[in-house]
Amino acid sequence: MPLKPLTSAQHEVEDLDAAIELYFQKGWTDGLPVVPPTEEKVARFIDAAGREPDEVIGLYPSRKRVVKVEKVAINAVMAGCLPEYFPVVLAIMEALTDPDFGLHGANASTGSMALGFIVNGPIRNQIGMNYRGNVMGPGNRANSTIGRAVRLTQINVMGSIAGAGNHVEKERTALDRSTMGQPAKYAGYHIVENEEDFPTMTPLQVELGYQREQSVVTVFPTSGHLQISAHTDNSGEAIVETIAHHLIGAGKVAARFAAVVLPPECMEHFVRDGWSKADIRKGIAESSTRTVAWAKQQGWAPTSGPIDRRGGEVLPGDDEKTINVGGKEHHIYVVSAGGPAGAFIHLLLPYGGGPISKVIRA
Amino acid sequence: MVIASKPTVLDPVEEPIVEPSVLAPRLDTLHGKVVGLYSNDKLNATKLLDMCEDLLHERFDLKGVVRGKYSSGRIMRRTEWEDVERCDAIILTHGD
Repeated sequence: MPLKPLTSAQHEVEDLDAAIELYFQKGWTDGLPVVPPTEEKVARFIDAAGREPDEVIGLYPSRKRVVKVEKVAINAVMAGCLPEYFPVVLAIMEALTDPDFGLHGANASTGSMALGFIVNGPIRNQIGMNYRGNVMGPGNRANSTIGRAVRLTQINVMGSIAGAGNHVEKERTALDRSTMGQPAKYAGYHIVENEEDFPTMTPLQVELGYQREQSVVTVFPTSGHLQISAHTDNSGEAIVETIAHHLIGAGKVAARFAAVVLPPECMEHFVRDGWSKADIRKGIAESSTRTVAWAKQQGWAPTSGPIDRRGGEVLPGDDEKTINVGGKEHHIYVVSAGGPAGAFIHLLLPYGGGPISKVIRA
Repeated sequence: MVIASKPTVLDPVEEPIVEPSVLAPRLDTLHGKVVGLYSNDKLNATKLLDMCEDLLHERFDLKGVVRGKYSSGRIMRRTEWEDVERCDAIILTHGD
């Protein structure tokens, strides 16, 4: 079957090395070399996803952009994706352009927020994603390039040009005004759930109301993560206490979301002690509940804004008012992932907006 | 000798859709008008609006003031938009 014709402008280059340089010159990269997107490669991506090039994935009203399949495919090729990864990239784009996501902050904020995504369901194994050691690190092509495709799409389709203090970068108006930026802005926090090794732990997409057979991606903006050591915690209860302690220590009243990525060493304790994911979520919420008076006296901000003032005068009634520093039960997403050794928990902190889940149409 | 054609690569950029827009009719005075004071809810933006409100009350006999929040990242709810429509003029502050 012939591939579908594309409408994007074409640039003639001497050779593919020259193409890589062209993309640097134009400011179309994230600062790393890209795979030159030829028409045939891009068309194969669209074909693999069974989509139309001019199909609209979503809108970015703040910058008057329409996100279409063809442009996302071009950026996915540039990122180094394989065609079979493309449905995951498209599902992430659907989540980002959902009006409830809060996309403009993720594209523009001084808060340096990165994007995180959790992949569940059969597609993880079908495209060879890694959910064991280094799940969030380098080494796996699908994990790394799917997240990079999203970032390149933010840059080129949504106009989230990273500013270095200048209004214009390579003749394009800067939009991403991150004060510091962060490493996860290259490929995101790519999290893939291990649904195989702990069968009593309900996979995230099932907790969210989807079927186990459905492939789902859950996307969220995050200000970053904390690594928590739970090496001296030998029970589910002790691990939950440690997580709550660090959540409070982050000094942030979780707004609407926190993701807790638990490695096998910790999961084994929970399974042995008969805990479900719902129990873990409940335990974290309860262990991190404090009164407003306590939060003020300890110097934390008793509200959820990223730049809210901390501390403050204890007012009448503050002793009775409680806050869930770690978020309410349904705000906490528990995910199983990581390598077999090391009781290192990763805690993803919120930064407004999200999380949004979408079915991956593979 | 066969001369190979040069490769072509695709442009990854989506350009914004720019629609023509016009300014709202200008007001002759703020006397007897409802003024909306909207901030992006950051600390200094709210403080600046407080100062604006004091000045406006000193200089004009306003019919009313509507205080609200806006975000360029989300669409206003219907009830918020109804408040906007009550205003004859709006001042936005954007703090960070």
